[in-house]
Amino acid sequence: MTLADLKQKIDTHIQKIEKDIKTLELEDFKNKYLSKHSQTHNIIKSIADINPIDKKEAGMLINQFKEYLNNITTTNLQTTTLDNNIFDFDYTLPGIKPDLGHLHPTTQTIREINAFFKHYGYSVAIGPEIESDEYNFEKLNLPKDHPARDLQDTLYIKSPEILLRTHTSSVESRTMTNSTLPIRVVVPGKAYRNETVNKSNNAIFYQYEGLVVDKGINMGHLKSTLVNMLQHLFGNDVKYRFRPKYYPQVEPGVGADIECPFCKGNGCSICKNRGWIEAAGAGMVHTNALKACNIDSDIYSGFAFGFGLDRLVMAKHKITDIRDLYSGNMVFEQ
Amino acid sequence: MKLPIDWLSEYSEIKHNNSQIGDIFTYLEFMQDGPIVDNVLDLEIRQNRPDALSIIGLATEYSAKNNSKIEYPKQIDNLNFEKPDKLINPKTTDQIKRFTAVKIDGVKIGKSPDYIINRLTLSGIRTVNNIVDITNYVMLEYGIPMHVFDANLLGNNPQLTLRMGNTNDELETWLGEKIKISKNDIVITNSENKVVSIGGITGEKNTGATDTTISIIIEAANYNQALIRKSAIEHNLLTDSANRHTKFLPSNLVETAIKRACYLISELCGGEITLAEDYYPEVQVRFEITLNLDEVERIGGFKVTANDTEQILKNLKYDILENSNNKITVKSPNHRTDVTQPVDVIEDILRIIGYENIKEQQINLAPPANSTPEIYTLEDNVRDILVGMGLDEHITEPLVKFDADITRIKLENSLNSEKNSLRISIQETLIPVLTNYIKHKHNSIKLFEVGKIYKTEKDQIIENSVVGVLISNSNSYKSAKGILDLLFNKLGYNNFYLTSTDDKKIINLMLRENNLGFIKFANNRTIYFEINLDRLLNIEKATNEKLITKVPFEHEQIVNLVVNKNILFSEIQKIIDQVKSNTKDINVLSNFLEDYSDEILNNAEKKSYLLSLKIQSLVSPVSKEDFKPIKEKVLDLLNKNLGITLKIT
Repeated sequence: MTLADLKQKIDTHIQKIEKDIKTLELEDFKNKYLSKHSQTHNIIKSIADINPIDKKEAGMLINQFKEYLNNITTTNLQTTTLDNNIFDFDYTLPGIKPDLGHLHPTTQTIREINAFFKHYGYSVAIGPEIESDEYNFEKLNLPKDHPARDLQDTLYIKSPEILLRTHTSSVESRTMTNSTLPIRVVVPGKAYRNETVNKSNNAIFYQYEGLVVDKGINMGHLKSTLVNMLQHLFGNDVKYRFRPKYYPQVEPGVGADIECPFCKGNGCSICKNRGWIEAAGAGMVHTNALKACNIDSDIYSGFAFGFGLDRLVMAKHKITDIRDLYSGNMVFEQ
Repeated sequence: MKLPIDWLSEYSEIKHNNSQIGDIFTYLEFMQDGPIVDNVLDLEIRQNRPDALSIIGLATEYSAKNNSKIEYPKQIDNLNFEKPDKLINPKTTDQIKRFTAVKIDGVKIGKSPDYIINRLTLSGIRTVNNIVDITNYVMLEYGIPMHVFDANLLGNNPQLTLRMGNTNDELETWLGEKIKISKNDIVITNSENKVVSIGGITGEKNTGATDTTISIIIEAANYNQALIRKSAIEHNLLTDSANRHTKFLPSNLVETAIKRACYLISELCGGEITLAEDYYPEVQVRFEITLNLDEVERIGGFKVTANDTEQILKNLKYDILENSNNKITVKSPNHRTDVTQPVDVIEDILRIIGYENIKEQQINLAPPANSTPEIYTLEDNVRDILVGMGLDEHITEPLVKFDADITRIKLENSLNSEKNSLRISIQETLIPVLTNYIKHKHNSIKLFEVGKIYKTEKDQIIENSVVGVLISNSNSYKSAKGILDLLFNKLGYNNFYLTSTDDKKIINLMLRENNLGFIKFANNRTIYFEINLDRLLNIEKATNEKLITKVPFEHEQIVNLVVNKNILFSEIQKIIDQVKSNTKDINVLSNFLEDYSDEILNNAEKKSYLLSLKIQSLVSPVSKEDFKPIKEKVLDLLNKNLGITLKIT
């Protein structure tokens, strides 16, 4: 058999296939064209009869043919011409839902805020939850017996040196100590305090902090960061105020409040009649903290900010009891 | 801190209405904490400013903000203090920064005048008699607590001895509570060595000034705040006095305060000062600080003039030592203990100018390279993959009840015994969540948590990031195994394998000789597995997901294997993988289809596995001829190594 004969055989065969694939059921089609006893099989086997000089080219023809066969069944399973009344059934019946799970509300919120800060060039920083006194307190300008330690009831593993971190600021002191400058990070994570548990306080809670250390960072940068952040979290028309507030790890320190959304600033039980709700704490990284982390405070300056995540998550998901967040009391609707 | 506005007006010229005054204090650092009731402001004073736990301190701030004068209250002027002798006997010296005492004879005890009673009442302090009320009144004025003794109730020789407590010391408080003194308490004793006061915290019931008192000793002091803090916490006596003494009080004001008290006593109770002694071993340092004005701009973000700076600092009662060449040298205010370095002064300047006047500036510096740790990204990937497979994420509290496990970390000061240690596996806190889903009548439950586990090993504390997965349904092992297979595949690790413990209770999850975690039954229809993500991260990924752009050539055949019961599928897979690794250009795949053992074999020793064996090539067509030697190789190895035969149908 010549090469031309083979080519013609294949072409004729393909014409037949093209015709039948549209009319035959898939199984019948397979029997007729793809079985051991089919004409197709014979054509493939006929390569044995080809003149040895043409074998290479014949092989290529056969390969193309095989590839065609390989594709034809899959392609033609998808019918292209459709009947007019194809939707003549109750198309409003419930569909078959694929399984899709849920992220925990706190994870969702962290991701949303991470995405916002990523836009401004922040990375995420993390650190251990079991922390040393050094990183949790000392390096953050909170020496032992400092009155400000009263702000945080500490859960100790081995007092006074090993504890459960009382804030995510410990990650900031770690980052300042161990990272190259400049620094621009956010720190989402768990913190622990020895607190009486009730509807609005838990021994375990989530904080979200941020830290920037670079040359020439000032209060104006902090202020614009806080404004952007508050607008992102609470909407562009949020009313806010910045006031001086003492936190040991920063100086000057800042308390960032938003107008109480429940009473619009008139005072209610939720804002303890202040008209304002504390949204974040912030400030310029304290000179003592920079020094303790081996950063030259004459050249570098920085700011830090932080807020509790849980309240934010609760507000978004209309959860009224903080204990529901991490007790497994929550069940995702199926 | 309660601030009656009429009291404030005695020292500062009031230029605002009540609500404006509240705002001014808020923007000064002292947040108005609640509504104004009876013309009294309630202000939040943080730990750094004990000086502002006083009317004078707050008046100083208000006047500084308004650039107005402050009128200080009258004090006795012709009082000279002697060194400790007849009145004070300081036996412990390290813990006392200053102790000042005055003996006044011939006082007349009675009712306080109305303005004192009113102001104390508005501040939440109950009135006792004119002498006691004066000590409280001056504490509110200057922030320096004081205490008054009936001199005649202190024994024959009314001398105050200062020493550390002994364990056999006792004291009965005003409220009649008996307190065992500890060796950390600073105590004041009478000449008979009886404790008459715990320094800085509380006085004794029977030695205070009463209606019959005619001779008094009044004392004001400043102690090592750390000790007072410990004592106050230990005895749970967080009195107004202790609240102030736990902070860094200004020793300089001790004398001012006691002179003020003496003035009021002489005005309201009469009497004559017979002794006045002052123990002041180390004078409070007023820091000399030189501030470069460029620094104010570097931190604040805007320029301030030397003149404005000087005015602000003068108003805040700094002493200006020099102001030239863009530098100001000052001495920290007498009443402030929180000012020790330039940044403290900068904060004061910015506070008075007002944060509202700081202009927002965008950061125009290039951001540093992304430094998000790989483990954080891995955790997030794991969450996404599991959620994609229909699992719900939970976060549970890692505090659990302590048990006998030697690796478990216990807390020293937990709030309750149910949560006094840390979990060593997420199962401890995730499995209980199941109950809740069952309550909600969920049939198929698929949960996970990505979080930390904690343990001690050879005195080292180890904290690891893990993922725990809980699957509860009628076919939980297969569901869980499928999730596990796909999770590893999606993360790019394909060669994990499983080994069971001898008792077949736990299955170990292995990857290249590393134990990554375990699989276990939590109950008869619930599987739990845990993967240590920190360990996983240390293992190099074996495969990356491949994108296939061409339809591959394939040849596939189904084989029915007869296998000894004790052989694991993973052993069969291993042999197929071995053949695959020796086959060039052709990919060898197997797909487990069914376990037919029970239906077909009826043989207790054997099982029957149906699987499809497939070869694939992207380069050239594959045929039965290509398949044959590979299949034979597989079957041969299966037979030689594992005794597996083909089932003949």
